[in-house]
Amino acid sequence: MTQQVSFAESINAGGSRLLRWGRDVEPEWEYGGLWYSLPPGGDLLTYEIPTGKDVYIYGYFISAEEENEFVVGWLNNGTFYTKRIQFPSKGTLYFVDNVAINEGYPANYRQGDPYDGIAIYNVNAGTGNPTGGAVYQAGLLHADIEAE
Amino acid sequence: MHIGGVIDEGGARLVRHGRDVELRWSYGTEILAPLQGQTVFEDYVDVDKFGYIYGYEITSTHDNSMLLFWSAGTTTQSIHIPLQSKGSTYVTLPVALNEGYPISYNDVATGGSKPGFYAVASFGTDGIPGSKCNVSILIGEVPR
Repeated sequence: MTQQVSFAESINAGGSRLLRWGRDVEPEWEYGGLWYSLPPGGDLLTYEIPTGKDVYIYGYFISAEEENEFVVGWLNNGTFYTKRIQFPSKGTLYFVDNVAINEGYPANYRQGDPYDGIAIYNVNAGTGNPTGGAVYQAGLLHADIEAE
Repeated sequence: MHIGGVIDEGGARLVRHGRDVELRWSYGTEILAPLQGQTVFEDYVDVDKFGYIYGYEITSTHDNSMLLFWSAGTTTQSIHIPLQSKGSTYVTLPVALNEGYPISYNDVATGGSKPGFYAVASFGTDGIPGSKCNVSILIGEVPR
């Protein structure tokens, strides 16, 4: 005999997370501070990967007071992956998806890897001086799970 | 069978917002020619609540930058929001933009006697005479 259970009775926080993110995780934001006049390749944000974790990227936040180009970079099993983001002008971008942008290639750290984190950096130099230049900020929406 | 018969409102909110919370907009008033650094929006959550920010609306008639900031325990968190030009922007997210850093009172400084705050300040240039800006925040409050 099959017992019928309504969705209302079967849904729970874990079930809702499966529907929201494809896995039982609750992503959290990591924000960098406000940066002025960054050199090329300056890290707006670095998220250090916790030991023994795979990290999925479900979104990012970038704000800049001028045109520039940005890169989200991470290592998966020693291979470097990047996502390039173009800002045609000053502006603010929040991006969140229910599929991780690195699905299939979670960020991880293996002994001997050159990097142990996920970075968001600017490609071109920021203008102005360290106290009065164009302002930049970045954020990362990440979910950390036990590494397979 | 219709879907309303198999899912309850709490379950729907879990799926929509990640927690059983009902969101509401907190509307700010129209501010004329805001000065650099001037607070253009401010609101609070009760001392027995955590506040989650699921979106914002900013309208400005002049090129500017805004700083959204809030109290989270003993720290103040902030998001810098440059506006490309005059214009309006609506952002609503399926996950709170302060997920992991909910609005709460400052435990140390206030002994829990004051509510947590969230606010927006004009961060860029002074507004020219006659310019206007308006800010609203999409907030969800849950028991601490």
